[in-house]
Amino acid sequence: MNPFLTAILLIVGFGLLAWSLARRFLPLTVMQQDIRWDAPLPRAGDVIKYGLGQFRFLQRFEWFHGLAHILIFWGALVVTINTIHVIGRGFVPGWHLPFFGHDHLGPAYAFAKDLFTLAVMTGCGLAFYNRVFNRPARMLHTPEALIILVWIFSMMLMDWLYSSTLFVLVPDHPEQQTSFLGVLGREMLAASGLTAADPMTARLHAVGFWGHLLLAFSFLNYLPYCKQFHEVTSLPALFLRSRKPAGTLARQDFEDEDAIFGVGKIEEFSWKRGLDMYSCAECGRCQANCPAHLTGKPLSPMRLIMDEREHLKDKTPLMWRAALARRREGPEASAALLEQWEGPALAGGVIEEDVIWSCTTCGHCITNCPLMIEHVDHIIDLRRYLVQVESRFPKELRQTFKGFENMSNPWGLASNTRGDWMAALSETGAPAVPHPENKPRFDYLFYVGCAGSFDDRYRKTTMATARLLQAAGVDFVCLGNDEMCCGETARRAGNEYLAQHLINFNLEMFDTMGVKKIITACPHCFNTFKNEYPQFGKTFEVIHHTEMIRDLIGKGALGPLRSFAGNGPVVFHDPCYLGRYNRIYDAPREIAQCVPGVRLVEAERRKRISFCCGGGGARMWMEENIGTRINAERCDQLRATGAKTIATACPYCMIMLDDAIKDKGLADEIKIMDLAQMVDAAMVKHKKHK
Amino acid sequence: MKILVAAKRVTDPDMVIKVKPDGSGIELSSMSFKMNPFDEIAIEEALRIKEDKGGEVVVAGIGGDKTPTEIRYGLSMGADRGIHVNTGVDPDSDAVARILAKLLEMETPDLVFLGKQAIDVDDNQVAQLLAEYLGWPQACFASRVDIEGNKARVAREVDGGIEVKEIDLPGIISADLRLNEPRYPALPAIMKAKKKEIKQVTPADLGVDITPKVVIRKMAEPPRRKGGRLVADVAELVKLLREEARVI
Repeated sequence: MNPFLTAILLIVGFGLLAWSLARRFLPLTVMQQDIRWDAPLPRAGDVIKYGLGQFRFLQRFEWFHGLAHILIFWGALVVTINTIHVIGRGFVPGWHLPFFGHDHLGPAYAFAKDLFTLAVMTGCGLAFYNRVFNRPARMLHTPEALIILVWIFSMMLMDWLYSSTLFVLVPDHPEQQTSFLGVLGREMLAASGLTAADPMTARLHAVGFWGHLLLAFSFLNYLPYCKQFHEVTSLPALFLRSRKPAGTLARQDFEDEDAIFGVGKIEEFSWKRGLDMYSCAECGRCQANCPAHLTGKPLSPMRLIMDEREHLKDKTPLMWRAALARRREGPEASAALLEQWEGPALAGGVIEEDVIWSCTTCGHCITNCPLMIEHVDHIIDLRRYLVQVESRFPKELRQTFKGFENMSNPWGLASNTRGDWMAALSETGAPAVPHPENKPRFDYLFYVGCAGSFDDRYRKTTMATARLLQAAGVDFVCLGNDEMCCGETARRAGNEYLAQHLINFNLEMFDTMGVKKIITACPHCFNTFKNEYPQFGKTFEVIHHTEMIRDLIGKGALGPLRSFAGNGPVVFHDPCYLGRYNRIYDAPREIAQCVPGVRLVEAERRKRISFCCGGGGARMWMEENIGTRINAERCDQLRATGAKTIATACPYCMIMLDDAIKDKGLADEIKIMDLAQMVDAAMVKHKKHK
Repeated sequence: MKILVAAKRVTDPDMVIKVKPDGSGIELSSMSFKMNPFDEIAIEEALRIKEDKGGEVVVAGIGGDKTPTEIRYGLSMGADRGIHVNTGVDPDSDAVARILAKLLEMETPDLVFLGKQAIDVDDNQVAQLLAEYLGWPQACFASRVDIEGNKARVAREVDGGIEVKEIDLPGIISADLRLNEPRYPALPAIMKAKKKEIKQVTPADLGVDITPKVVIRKMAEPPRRKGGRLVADVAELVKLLREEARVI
């Protein structure tokens, strides 16, 4: 082929691409720093598992769509080598990469290439069919997506045409031994009467060659301007993913004078968040099970990322100039330029306040995004800005924040009544629970939490748990009135400053008392102690009461259990912070099955794709005025299993679902209880107490 | 316009109050404290006036060693500086009024804002006493304040309506519950407040004798409420209301 034209195509194609990439990536340099190259080996492992392995594509609900993506992705990896060959052959006929000669990998590759060309075309076909006929609700249905599929499909066709005509032109071409697709094409062309001498054959060969290259280079240059940009950014984004446990939020440093207290402008996000915005492929797996999105709230995690990306693109000219100024004149000049932005603000403008406050932080989006974008962290960064810098938040939260500040609980109830549940426990005939002051040596701190201390319904779980621990002879203490909130809710409401105040107080107190192991019944406290307190320099062994009770039953420490008193089947509702965030799925189910007479049924949305009760992310203390109610939706899902008892292991879930049951007037039909209560009620050992 | 607001550290109204066994006062050991809510409203109103017309807001706290915590809260809301008159124990209302009168000689503000009463002892005395000592005009229980030139128009909720008063400045206004909703301090303001000045003064510096004129002899909890009683019919209800409750 014409080396001159090929060279021009290369220079123009790659030149334009370089410009587009610079335009996309240079602005990211004015965003916040974020070190992401620690632990290179595990990171490479992630790229293999989630990138090459496409781990998040073959899910229970999703395998059909996932298969289409896997075919296209793996196919493209193999077929791209061929594109390099085609470019080379523009200069040197028959050129190939080292080791791809006929006596090396050549024949094998020719076969693989054809196989994967077929895979890509099948994948495109499946995806096209999906988008046109199945139209899954989670996805955004744009013409862009269909154009991209046709584009990829056409590239494959052009390559097929190229190799088929090549085999007609060069009848003894060695690739014909393995290139079954090319041979098939050759036969089809021959059947239509084309011969090597026919000028039409050479012309078709040129169409195949130039068509392939033109489509490939135009596609490459289209990438930075469409959702398909994830082809470039996704593998780096996976390598640079956050390695913190999914349920933890980043710690803010209030000692650092230059620190920002939240994200109000796009450049206040870390550059990795910017990369994630580019990476979003609009697949909608995040919103497929988003409680806010599915109940008519304005939040969709996908929309959030897309809106941020649009905003980033709008701000690109200014950020481009700021990035250059940063290089030439230093950070001050760059900051001064960014101040000139006259468009809408990010927090509360581009991303509206109702969007920001709709999130329950249930983590479905994070744990299901194939590219591991951290939507919840975006939301919390925005909340932090609104709360800490602008003091703008739903007015109900003022009471909640004040409650934490003054009384160390969200209701603002008297902190000197926090331990009253212990007196109530004694009234049931149980022994008194010691305080660390009276019992300096102990194995476990049973941390009760705010709901466990103050909510009438949930206090029963606290008492049941305490009774079970006592019955099993576990050596534990409780803090009573001295207990403070763990800081979870304040943190998720964006009030990091208040949260750290509570966290530091607890750390100091735990330190003085020599706390090493913590048992808690609340998955929110559990997650905070286990995954977030280590950010502040203290690691505890944290045990959820379901794990503890499971082990105690296993050891026979609780003795024989009576038959389950409730009627009908039992469904377990997975709390987000226990299941999705901490992957404790089995302990609760095992407990339920240890109680004689319990028939466990499962909800359609369970375990990793469990549906939130609506109470997380401080939503429990905000009005739910938009759309339908999340707890009602979840209640319906659980009722659909035919269960007469909902078992759960979280105060939020218990309170939210109990409210839903009462709102629907179903109190006689379906009951909700914590697993600790279920076991407590079945204890033969307890007889003498009651 | 220079505005002085007095802020008192009080027991948190949401705490469960227990009287000491000897009846000498309230059990304070496990108590949490906060700024008197009416004083918070007073500071908020002062800040709104400052934001509208410019000037300075000074927070004065009169009380023991921990009082600066509450003054600092006022500073994080946006007040410019603080004064702490360290009295060791809480003085009575009259002493507070005399201390404030002396402070005002030093500070010469155009307006003094106070909470209508402190929610711990509920005396509701300081604003009125202070006006008397200084001979300044007073407008107590404000539910709306408009500053026009050298005058303040103050609306106050009274039985059956709203009464509007106009006072000359300098004057004294005490804040009622519905005057405004105080802001939640933003973090940059909290950080800034850490560096603001709180001047330390003693009653002796001001030449005020704080020996209490009011002494608490005994404190006792009110009798516990008994549960209600179901009556059979109206006749019995009327009989009981007449003979037992003696309300009709």
